[in-house]
Amino acid sequence: MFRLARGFPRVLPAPLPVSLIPGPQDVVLDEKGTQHRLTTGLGGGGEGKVFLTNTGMACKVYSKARLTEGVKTKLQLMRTAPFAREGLCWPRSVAFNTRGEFVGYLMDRAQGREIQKCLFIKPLLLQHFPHWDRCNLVDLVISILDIIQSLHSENVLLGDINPLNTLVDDRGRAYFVDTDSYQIEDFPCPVGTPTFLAPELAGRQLSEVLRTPAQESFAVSTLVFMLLMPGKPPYSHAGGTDPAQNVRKRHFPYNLGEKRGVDVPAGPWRFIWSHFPYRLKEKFHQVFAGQSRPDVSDWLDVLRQYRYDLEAGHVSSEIFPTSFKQLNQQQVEAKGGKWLRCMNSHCPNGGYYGEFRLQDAKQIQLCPVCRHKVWIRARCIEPLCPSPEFTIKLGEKLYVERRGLEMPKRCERCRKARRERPSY
Amino acid sequence: MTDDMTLREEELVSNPTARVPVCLCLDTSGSMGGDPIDELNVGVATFLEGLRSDEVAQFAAEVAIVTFGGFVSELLDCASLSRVEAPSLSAYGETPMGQAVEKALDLLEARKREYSNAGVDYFQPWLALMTDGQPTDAIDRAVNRTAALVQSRKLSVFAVGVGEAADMTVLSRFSPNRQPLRLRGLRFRQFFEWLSKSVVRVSQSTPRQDVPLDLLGIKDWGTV
Repeated sequence: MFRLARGFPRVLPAPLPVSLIPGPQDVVLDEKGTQHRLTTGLGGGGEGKVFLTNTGMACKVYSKARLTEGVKTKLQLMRTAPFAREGLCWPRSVAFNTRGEFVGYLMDRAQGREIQKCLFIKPLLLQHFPHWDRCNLVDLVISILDIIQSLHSENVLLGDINPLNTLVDDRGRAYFVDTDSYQIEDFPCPVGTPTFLAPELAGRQLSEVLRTPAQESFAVSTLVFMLLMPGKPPYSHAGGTDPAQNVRKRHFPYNLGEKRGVDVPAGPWRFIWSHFPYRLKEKFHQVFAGQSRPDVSDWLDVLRQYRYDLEAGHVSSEIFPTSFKQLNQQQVEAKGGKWLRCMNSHCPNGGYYGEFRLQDAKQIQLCPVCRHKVWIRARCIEPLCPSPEFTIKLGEKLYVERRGLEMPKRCERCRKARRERPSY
Repeated sequence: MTDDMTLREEELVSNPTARVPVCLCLDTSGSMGGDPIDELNVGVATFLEGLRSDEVAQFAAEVAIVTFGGFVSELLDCASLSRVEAPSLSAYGETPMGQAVEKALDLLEARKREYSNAGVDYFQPWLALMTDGQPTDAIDRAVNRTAALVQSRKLSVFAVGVGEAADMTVLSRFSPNRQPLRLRGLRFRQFFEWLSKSVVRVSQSTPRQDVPLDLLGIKDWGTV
């Protein structure tokens, strides 16, 4: 087991001399002097390149700028605690070129594809996992959390958790690559991905920071959210901008119990959210709307319960449900709601729905789907309106007709601005 | 409401990837006739293909194309790459660059609003401006708008001059933070390959704050 990080980050930036960076078909040597020939390239970036070897392993060859004392010492330290678990591409040996100079490391090879490229975009998910339902998805989250937990129990923090270094194979097994960036003792994790960076890390130079378990928890929670809402970041919301800015703003748009959703993004996300069990929604709220930073075992508890609920048929197992969660008449009335008939004769929900906001119900009896259905598109009449296209929803139309009002001529923003303008 | 509209909206809201909107603002005036316009066509096709062949970028990049040759026309309006075909450009007329840049900024602004309203994350847009000559219309307003966006880090501009007659002073007014470059010969394809790779880097972004551009790669197509 490694000791916990303490004191200051250790970087040791002194460059190591190198006269030959190996490429395809070149030979690298491991610590025992065994030869491994580099074969197919698996890609890479500014950091270096990853190759398969003729010995059935993978080898990361760093670019010249990354060949430093610090990188080598960290890898040697990682080698002292060899993790032998499937799914974790831990360094097996430091790698040298034929002249004995440090060039990278050898590791077990990963299988499958980056979750960004097979789960986080709906058409790709349907293509790669056509038979998956939510049970498969939750099983994957649980197996990912298992690997993370085993790292945490050795005092390793992953640091840069992201959908391009987490892979999944055809059978739904997870693999973690780029393990050389993990935070080990005082060696920092020098990289990060905005969506997964805890707000307090925004804008920091990551090679100068030792991360805390709380910051790791934020990243883990974000990954859980984005796996269950395939690809959607927790702080994505209407009125948002780029990923880093959204995290800094910390506006979590989804509803919980009495608390209504604000700026919920358009599309399937609100439906997916509505089908989550209450305990799961509550946990997400505690993290993203509150200050809670649960550890992995907390998440495992919640997800195992979710898995049970799915198995038992308590919640929908569709990955992309196309409507809000439907309660039956008994459930609605038990929760103090009313069972009403939707006024829309073409209601896709079969005509009946549960209503809890009884004030609204007096005005218009529409199920939530019909209420939000676009009735017409209109243009705001304010000449200076920056965003003149707006829609009138079926719910608004009926509300306006009921009360004998005029149809809105301005977009919501201009209407609000007019209401707030002082009258003279 | 057309089916196309519904499809566009469906793609907008159901794809959770943070978008990188890119507008190509291209000179297609009469002087581009002959080899330059042919090479430009190849370049634009290369650009779209380069983005489409990347598994992440194809869902992140959205491309708009505005041309200025005689008049300003909007050939693509920040569409998702799955539905985009490479246009066929032909050279004609004068060089209304100011109006074209304003059109490009309008398209990018409108798309940003659509992202924001729908709750879709996005990166600040890119504008690639290419010309082989001098503007034939007033450019002050377009310059001011562009410069203001660049200064507030809400736009990245890549300004490229084609041939000896390209007015680099005008281009540098549009690109206050990054020196405009002159294309080597007719290396449009190399420029657009480089540009698509740069977009791919942003979209793949495990971005460490600012994504470094591939400065070495520039040598392949451009000079100061």
